[in-house]
Amino acid sequence: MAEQPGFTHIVFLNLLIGVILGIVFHRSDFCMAGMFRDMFLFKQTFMVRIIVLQVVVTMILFLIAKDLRLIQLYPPPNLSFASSGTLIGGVVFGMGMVLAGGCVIGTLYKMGAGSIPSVIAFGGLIIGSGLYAELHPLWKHITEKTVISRAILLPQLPNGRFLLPAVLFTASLLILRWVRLGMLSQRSYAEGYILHWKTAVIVSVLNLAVYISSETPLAVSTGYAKMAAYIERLLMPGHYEALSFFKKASFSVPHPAGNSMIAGGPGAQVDHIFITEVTLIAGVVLGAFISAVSLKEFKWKICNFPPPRQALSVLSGGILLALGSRMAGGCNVKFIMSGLPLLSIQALLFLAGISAGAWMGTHLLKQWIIKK
Amino acid sequence: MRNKTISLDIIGQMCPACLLLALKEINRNKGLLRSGKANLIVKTDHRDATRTIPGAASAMGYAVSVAKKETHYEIKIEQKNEDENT
Repeated sequence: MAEQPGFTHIVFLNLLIGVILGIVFHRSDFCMAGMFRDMFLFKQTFMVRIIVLQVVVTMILFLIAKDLRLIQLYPPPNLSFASSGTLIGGVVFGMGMVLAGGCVIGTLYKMGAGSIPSVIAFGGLIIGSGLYAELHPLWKHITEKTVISRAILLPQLPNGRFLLPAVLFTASLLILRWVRLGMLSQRSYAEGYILHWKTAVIVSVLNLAVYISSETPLAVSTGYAKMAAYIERLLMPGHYEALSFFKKASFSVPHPAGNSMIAGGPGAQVDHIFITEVTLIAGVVLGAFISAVSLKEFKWKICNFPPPRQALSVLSGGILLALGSRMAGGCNVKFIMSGLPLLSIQALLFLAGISAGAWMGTHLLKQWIIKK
Repeated sequence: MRNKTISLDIIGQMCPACLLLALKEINRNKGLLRSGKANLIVKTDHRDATRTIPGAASAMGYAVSVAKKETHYEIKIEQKNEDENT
């Protein structure tokens, strides 16, 4: 399957995009977990403005691309129906994100840059993905019973067509105001710092490139499940075969080379998720590694272990991140960076969940984890 | 009186320990810092801390400077100099 034409192009493109993402995320220290946490902890809203900017730029790019027919599948097949699973998954994810000190992509760039807490969180993400496979049959049942809408995007609802222009108009006014007041940039003293707003725009453009080239916008968390699948197949082949989660195909898209379809799912095989998400994960880690080494900051980090309490926090945070994203059917990358710009109902519900979860996580952190 | 240096080492800690502990330290030594009797040096390996800590400290009216050292960033927080004394 892997040798088919078109595959290699997508693999290289995703690797390249991953490397660029890794570099810019590391340079800016672009942390979405930090955005939610610092909003509750310090009432700091700088990162919130940056994410609003990113969502709006992505929204505009996706709209233009759809209009020019560069995007074939709209809504993308990796978005689905919102259910109670989306909300509960969001809460679990939000809590995990704060405890892990990074989201599913933040953990990657921090790990690539040598951060030991993030290496531990990464381990938690793999363990959590494997754990979810055990819960999947039960959770699937709950999710299917509680679907709240058969529309995927808000604009697909009756009278919903005006929603996208209305949101776009209001948010654009807000952003113009922030630009005028200089509220989209903050000084950082870190060497080689890239302004946050620039990274937000770069990520939006790369997200469009992923969407056009592979029929699905930026997403990463199923990639973790796939890595867990490979490990589990290696360690416990018998048990792996018995798990229905690893057999499912989440979606299928037209094959890049021709008229057949190619599926994408969490199982241990080379498919659409492998050539996009797994490749992207490798790229982000590599990009951040290159960036940190070039600034001579990698060796700072690699020898610094966190206090035991924090190590436990990032490990459990990683597990919760994986459980939450599988329960919701996606993570903050798929829902906030890619779903919100399309006004996906799932994304909005996930956002509500993640906010509540991050609030709880922040309290746990303040009470139990960070102690002087 | 000579300037005393208070040092806070948060190298290797997870987010958001940096800003949280730095703020705690600033508040605990408020008297000394405000009177100019001491300055606070925060050592961190977090790039984002060189944005958040200086941002918060300058909002509180302190003078902030950052230097990149061999193994970390060093953030110096002190009372703003109104009359020039060494």
